Amino acid sequence: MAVDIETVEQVQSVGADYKYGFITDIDVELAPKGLNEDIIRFISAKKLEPEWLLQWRLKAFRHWLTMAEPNWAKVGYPPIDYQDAYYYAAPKTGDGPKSLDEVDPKLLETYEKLGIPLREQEFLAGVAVDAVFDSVSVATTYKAKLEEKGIIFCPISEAVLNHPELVQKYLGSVVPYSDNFFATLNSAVFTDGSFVYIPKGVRCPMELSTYFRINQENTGQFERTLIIADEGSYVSYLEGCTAPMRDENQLHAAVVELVTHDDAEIKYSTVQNWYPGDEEGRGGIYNFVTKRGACRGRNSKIAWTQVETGSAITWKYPSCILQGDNAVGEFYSIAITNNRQQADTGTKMIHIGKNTSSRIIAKGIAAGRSDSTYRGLVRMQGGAADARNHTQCDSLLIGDQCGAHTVPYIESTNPSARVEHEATTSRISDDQLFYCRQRGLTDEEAVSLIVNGFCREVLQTLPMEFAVEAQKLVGISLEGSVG
Amino acid sequence: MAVSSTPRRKHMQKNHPPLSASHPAAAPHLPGGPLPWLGRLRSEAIASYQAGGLPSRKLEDWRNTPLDHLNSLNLTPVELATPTVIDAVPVWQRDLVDGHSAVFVNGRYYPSLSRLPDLPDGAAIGSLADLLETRPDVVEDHIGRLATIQGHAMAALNTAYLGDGLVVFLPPGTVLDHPLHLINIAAPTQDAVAIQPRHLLILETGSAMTLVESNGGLGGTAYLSNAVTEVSLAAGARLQHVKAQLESPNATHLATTAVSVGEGAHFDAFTLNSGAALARQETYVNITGRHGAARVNGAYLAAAGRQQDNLTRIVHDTTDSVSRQNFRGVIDARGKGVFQGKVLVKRHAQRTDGHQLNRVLLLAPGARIDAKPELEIYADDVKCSHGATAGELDDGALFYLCARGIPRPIARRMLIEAFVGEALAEIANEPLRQSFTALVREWLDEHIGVPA
Repeated sequence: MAVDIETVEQVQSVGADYKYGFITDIDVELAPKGLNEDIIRFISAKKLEPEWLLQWRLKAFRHWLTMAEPNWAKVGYPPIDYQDAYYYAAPKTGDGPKSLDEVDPKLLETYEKLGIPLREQEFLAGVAVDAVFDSVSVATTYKAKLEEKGIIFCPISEAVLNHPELVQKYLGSVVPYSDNFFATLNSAVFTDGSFVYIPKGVRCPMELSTYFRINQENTGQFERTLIIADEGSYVSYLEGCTAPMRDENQLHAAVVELVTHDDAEIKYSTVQNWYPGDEEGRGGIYNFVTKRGACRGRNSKIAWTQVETGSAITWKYPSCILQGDNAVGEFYSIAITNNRQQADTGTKMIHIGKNTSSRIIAKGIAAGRSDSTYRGLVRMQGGAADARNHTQCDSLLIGDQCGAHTVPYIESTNPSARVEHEATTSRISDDQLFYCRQRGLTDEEAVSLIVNGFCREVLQTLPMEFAVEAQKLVGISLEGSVG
Repeated sequence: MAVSSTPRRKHMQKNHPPLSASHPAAAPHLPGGPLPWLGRLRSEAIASYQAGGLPSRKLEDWRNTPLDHLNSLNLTPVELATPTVIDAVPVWQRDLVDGHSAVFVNGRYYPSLSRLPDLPDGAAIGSLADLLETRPDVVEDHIGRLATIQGHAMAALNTAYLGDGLVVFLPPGTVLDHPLHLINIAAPTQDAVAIQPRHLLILETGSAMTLVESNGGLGGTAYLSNAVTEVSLAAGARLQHVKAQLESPNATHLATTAVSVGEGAHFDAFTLNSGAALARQETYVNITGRHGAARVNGAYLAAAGRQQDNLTRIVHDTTDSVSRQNFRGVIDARGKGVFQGKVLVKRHAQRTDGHQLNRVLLLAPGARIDAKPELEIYADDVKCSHGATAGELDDGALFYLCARGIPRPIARRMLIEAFVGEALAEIANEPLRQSFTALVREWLDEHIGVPA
């Protein structure tokens, strides 16, 4: 979808004083660099959004201007120039590599190790795929099946047009536009993402994944995902590519909002493997993500599972607000950092309703010269009678140049609520390594085996097809960290 | 000119943090006044304090601890208040431990009630103010070396008013057989005085002692006690520091202890915090010598409307060092407990063994705990762990006792006492452990109720 005359007209109509020179250059695919109200109006107009959404974006943008970038996380990076980035890029269908021959061989090597089929490799590497590509028809078949059940699964921009009442009701209801610096930026400029609505009593017959959708459009820098599980429904949602997308964009500021009503459950799994930068820490994605789920209904449940192996910087705290009585929140996480990666990740469990419970299992593995931090909050509010939390954070250090940190916050104002936190830090023992090597495993195989064992509790919670790839990913991410 | 300057000064005072405007008036009354290095140290400190003001809740370390009330107290430096005369040490402090004692009233050494031990040659125990007169060079060498002013407003404020406190200097190989009791008594003669004791303990190679510290207050007026203790342990030195803080109900007690642990040295601290409206104990331990060990333990009991605050930071700055932390908190309705504990293992500090545990009982609705146990680790060959729990008494245990005919209130009381006992067990010295257990029992009698 290249920018055409129509777009240009739209831009002209949204701001008479629009003084950027790109109007004359019809071939350009990007809106000009920089961030201002005109860009936001342009994005909104491009997406044919209703007035309320534009106003919401503008409200967010104006608020964002008053905010300061947070600096409490244990990550270091040069200042980001928000005016030096593109906030709207038309899909890059035309400019991708023509065939796999043009793709970075290092990338292909990784795909091969992951065992990704050739067709998928093309797809993941952004090779222009023709219309008969299998997954397109697969996606359509699924779509029909989902529609039959009344499930809405579409890009959020489409949902804004087709189901405005749902979007308007829920968008920003879990992560308000003023929530934090990156979420507010996202609210102002988000370009796309997924929208899922599971109607009452429906158990989604298959695992939903962004994978089936991104063949239509490339994922943007600022994704916004909204998933609503109505009473008694269930959905398992998989996010992200399991292979590294060599995206040169520097900043990813996504927002994910989940809502569960009475007796509903959402299981949200992520395997994040964005480009981590090279051995010296050059390049790589800054992944600043706000993910939050609200267990609004009684007996509702939200489970986050994440495998974070990519990105130069990960700043991500998938959280659960346990409002309904008996609500359950779970967080399972593996964060692997190597070379010069930095990960500051964890969760927040806010217990509001009675008898709510939460479980946190976080495994951090740091190798090379990287830093991995678990940062989490468990809060038991006054009304959270008989609430329970158990948190376990384990860190594994590989090499003496890396760091592993644990920063949990525990706040309780309810005596009947019980909070337990434990954390350990250690390294792979020489005994373990020796035992494996004695049995003929190479150093790398041994580390991969031991680390996979260390992560087992989390890997087990992943859906089958993800778990297999995640296991391989664990090994690949740690390559070169021993020996 | 005179007319216009008055409102300006008023305005300036308004923007000045407490005790900064009164510093010039109080300074001439501070001991060791004419020493140039001391003057410099104090003015540096007051400048640093003035620039930053009282710690705000925007600071990570102070996010749960409001000090706003200090602004409205109209605090007067104790140097400018009427001196207090007392004729006896409060009974609970007197009975805490048998042994020698150094008594400080409102932060000033009180020789008539003190009983200092006979010391071997070269050893010194006494008041900082005296030492500033007789051997200022010894003080100059050590004071302010461990307690950092930068980023620590309360330590800066203390340094600005640095004048008196306990000084212990033990030359190599000196071992004190009996505990030394540091008795701090706040006896304000008027509302809202600020007492800022500065203690200094230098233990040379192979020396050892037990320091018992008790902090109490007379009367019900509000006051601020802001103490700084610096402890330097040379190779093989051992210090056991057991502290009881039972200040007056309206007091604010802030204490900073900064410790340097040398090779094979051993720092063993226990703090019982149950007094004051707001109490905060900050303990900074830097283990710089191989095989150095630090044990930092404590119990905190927060009655209704009170806040008990603990901050520990153990830095492992060398190989083969050990740290242990074990804390128990009991929080009553509308009471608040804070625990911020950190173990930092530096890059080269291989084979570190660090463990930390903080467990809290919330007795009634409205009790609150904010805990932040933290590990920051840069070395790989380490064994580090921490644990934290919060909740009420175990129903099963209660039921077990009730099923054996023990009335519920007594069963509850027994379990709470046993819970705190897990921390008290860390006090190695038997008579001291018993004294501290008695203090905990008194608190429980008052706030939980006496078993029939």
